Amino acid sequence: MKKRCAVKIERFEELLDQYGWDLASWPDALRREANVLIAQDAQAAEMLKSLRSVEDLLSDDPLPLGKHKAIDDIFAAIEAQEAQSSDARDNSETDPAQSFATIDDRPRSRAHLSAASAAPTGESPARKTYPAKSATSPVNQAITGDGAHYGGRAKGTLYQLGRGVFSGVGMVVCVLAGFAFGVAMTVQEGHQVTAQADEIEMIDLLENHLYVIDQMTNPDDLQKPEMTKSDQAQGVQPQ
Amino acid sequence: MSVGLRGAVPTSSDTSDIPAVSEVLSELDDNSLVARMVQGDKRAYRVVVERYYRGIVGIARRMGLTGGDAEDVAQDVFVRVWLHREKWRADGGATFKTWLYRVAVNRVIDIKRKPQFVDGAELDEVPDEAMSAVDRLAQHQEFKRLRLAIKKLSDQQQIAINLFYDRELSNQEAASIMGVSVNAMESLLKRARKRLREELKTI
Repeated sequence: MKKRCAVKIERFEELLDQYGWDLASWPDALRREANVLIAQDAQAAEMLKSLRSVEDLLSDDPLPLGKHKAIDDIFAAIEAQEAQSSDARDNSETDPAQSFATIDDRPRSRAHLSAASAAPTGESPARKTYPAKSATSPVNQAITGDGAHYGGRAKGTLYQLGRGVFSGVGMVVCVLAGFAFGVAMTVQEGHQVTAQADEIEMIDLLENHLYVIDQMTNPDDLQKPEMTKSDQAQGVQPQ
Repeated sequence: MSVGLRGAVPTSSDTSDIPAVSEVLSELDDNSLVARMVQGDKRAYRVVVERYYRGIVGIARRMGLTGGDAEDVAQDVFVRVWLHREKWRADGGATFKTWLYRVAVNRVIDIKRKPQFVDGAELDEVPDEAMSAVDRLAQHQEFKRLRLAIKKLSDQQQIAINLFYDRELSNQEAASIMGVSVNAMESLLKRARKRLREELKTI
């Protein structure tokens, strides 16, 4: 009996994880069995109570009231952004170099709502946790991308892509320059080695030649002893 | 001088019609409001914002942002949606609500991935004035334990938990926001609940 209850406890635990604490959301047959088990087994009852407290905490909505002012702030930020965008468009018409000024169209922190104080880039000093630059969104497998409907980051993406391309070209140029420098140094070193080898050969030749010359010019080495008539008569070979 | 929702407003032939127009707009469904929004109707968009502001802030808070940061995210999301409203496509498959939540969730994920992000969610609990000091302290401790346990879940499980227990969302909507089927969502929830129970036993 206990063994059967133990099995049921494990199954009950799985069902709790699958359906939650609210037995009303369970399939009918499973709900009946669960009610029987909860009535008989204190451990099952405790599990249910524990999960219920967890889910109540999860469902608790701690958001305070007072949304209207915040919504007014949203529309004030929209007005500020639209004004800034129109100014940026006017400036870009006269100064092509500032065409990227409108790419960062993200709203600023609420502490920077006025267009005069809004900086084009940079962190808000009021809130360290609020990013000022477009964050590169990591690939999140749980959430499909919102780019299919939302192209708001197009200008920011273009700017980042441009920067990436320039940095990539710079890197390639540096790599090629380094490669060319290395090849030149290697060739030069090769020439030096060859030159040194030639020089060694020359030195060897010179040394040998001089030695031979010395040999040739040394009268002791070159002069043979004369043979006397008596040596010749006795067949003594000259030394 | 008439008194509207925003307090005392000067009476004029135009502004006196604003509350009436708002009442009419608030009766429209999302598709109608969004269609007006795309055309540039800010009053219609305001109804949309009022309808979903609480939910967007709620999901941001549930995912670990403090009150101020959560409101900033909500403001960011709604301003972006307005500035790029012409890019919305009603025939894309997702409803406006699930699409809006998806934008918000992605935004929160981006912020949390920043190196300077400080998770202070457990420090920012709104005390229930109806509870005694002892009960408030106990509840605060429970919240802290729960937050710590949630942090140990995988990213997918955390998002599933946060969306599922949001009272503004149905199961189908939560699954749609995640871009998964309802069955896949339930599977994530099952593993998340199991892990939470195990973690809360050890904490």
